[in-house]
Amino acid sequence: MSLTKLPGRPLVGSLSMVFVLVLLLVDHGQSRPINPYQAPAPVALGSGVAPTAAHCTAP
Amino acid sequence: MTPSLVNQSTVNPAPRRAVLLLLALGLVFGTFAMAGPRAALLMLVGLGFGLTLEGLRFGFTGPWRNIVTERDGRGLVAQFLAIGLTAVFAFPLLASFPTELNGAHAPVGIAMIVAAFVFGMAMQLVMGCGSGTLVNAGSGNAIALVALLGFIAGSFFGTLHLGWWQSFGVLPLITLQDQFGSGGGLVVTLLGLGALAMLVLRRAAPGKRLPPRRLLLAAALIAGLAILNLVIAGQSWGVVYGLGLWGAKLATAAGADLAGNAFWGAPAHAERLVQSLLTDVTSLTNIGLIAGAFVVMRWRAEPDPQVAPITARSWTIVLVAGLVLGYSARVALGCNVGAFFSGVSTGSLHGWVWFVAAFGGSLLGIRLRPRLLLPLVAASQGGGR
Repeated sequence: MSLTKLPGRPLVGSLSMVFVLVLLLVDHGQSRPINPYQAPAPVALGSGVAPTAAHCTAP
Repeated sequence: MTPSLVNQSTVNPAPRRAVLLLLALGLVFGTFAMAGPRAALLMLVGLGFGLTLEGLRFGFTGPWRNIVTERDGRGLVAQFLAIGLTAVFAFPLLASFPTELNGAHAPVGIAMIVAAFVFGMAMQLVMGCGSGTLVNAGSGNAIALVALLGFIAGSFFGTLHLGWWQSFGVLPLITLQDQFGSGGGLVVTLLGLGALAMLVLRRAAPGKRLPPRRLLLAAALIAGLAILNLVIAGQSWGVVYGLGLWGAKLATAAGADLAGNAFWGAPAHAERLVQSLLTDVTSLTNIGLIAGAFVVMRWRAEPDPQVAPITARSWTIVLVAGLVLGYSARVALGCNVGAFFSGVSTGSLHGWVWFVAAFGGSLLGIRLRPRLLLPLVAASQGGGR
C-alpha cells in the first residue's frame, strides 16, 4: 500500500468486512458448536430469565 | 476515458444495492439459522445502529470536538436528546422487570476516572470512539481500520490487567435509582442532561445551537435501537466487551492459554471464550454496526473521499492510539456507548463521572491531534517533524 495514495473507501470497507469474516471463521474453528435447542428466548423481556451476557461495565 | 475514471454517479447503482440488501438479509438470516432468533434480532439492531450512525452522520467524537473548535453544539445536544429519550423508556423498564433487564451500572473508581480521561484524549487522536471506530472502519476510513486493530488488541490487554487497576480504589456501586427511586432518578437524569444542554447552548454560536432534522431523527432512531437492545438482550448497548473478546479469541487461536488469567478464568468470561461469537451480545451488535456502515457507504452513488494520507510516523501513532483507546475503555468500564450513553441512560453514576473525565481528555486530544497526526503533503513540504 502506497503511503502517498490510500485505497478508496470501497476497498477499505471491504477489508473491514473480510476481517469480520476471518474473525468468525477463526472463532468457528475453536468454539463449541451452537446448540439451537439451547438458544435463549427471542426477547429477554418477558422470558423470566435473568440476563447472563457479559457487558463492558462488569469488572 | 478509462473505466477507473468513470464517474460512479453515472453507473446504475441498482445491481450494487440489490447485492447490499442481500448481504444485510443474509447476515440476519444466517445468524438466525446458526444461533437462533435472539442473535438474529441483535444482528438486526446492530445493522440499525450502523445504518443510522453512518447514514445520518450521527457521532460522538466529532460533536465533542465541534463544540470546542467551532462552537457548534448541534451534535452534542443531539447526543443528550438521544440519551434522555432512552432514559425515559429504560428507567421504567428496569424498574418493572428487575430480574430480566440489567442497566449499564458500574462503580466509580480512581483507575476508571483516569482511564476515561485517557480514552477521551485517544478518541480525538483517531477521530473515533467505541462505536465511531467500528462505523468508520465499516465505511472505509483507512485510519479507523488501523485504529480498530489497535482497539481490539488494547481491549484484550485491558482485560488482562483489569483486576490490578481495580485495586487502586473503587467506590460502592451508586445508581440514581438507589438514591432517588426510579421516577426520581429519571427526573435527576433528565435535569442533568438538560443542564448540560444549556451549557452547550450558551457556548454554541448562533445558528449552531439546535440540531437539524437529520440529527433529531438520528437521536430518535438511536434511542429506539438502544431500547430494543435492552429489551432483546436484557442488557444495555455496549461495544468494548465484544472487542476484548475478539482479541481474546484471536490470542487463543494463536496459542495463548488464558485459563490462568483472573478475568478470563472467571466463569462468566470463560464461558464466553468457549462459546461462539454469535452468542455474544456485544459481538453481534458490533458486527452489525460494521456491516450497516459498509452498506450505507456502498449504497451511496459516490462514496465519500478517503481520508488524507498521513506520514508513516502518524500511522504508528494511530495504531498506538487505537491500542490506548481499547485499553482505557476496558479499564474505564466502558466507552462512550457502554459507559456514557448506556450508563447515563440507565442511571449509573459512573456514566456521568465518565463523561466529565472523558471530555477533559478530549480537550487535550483536540490540542494533540494536529501536532501528532501530520498530513503527508504538509510533512513533505516541511510541515512535519
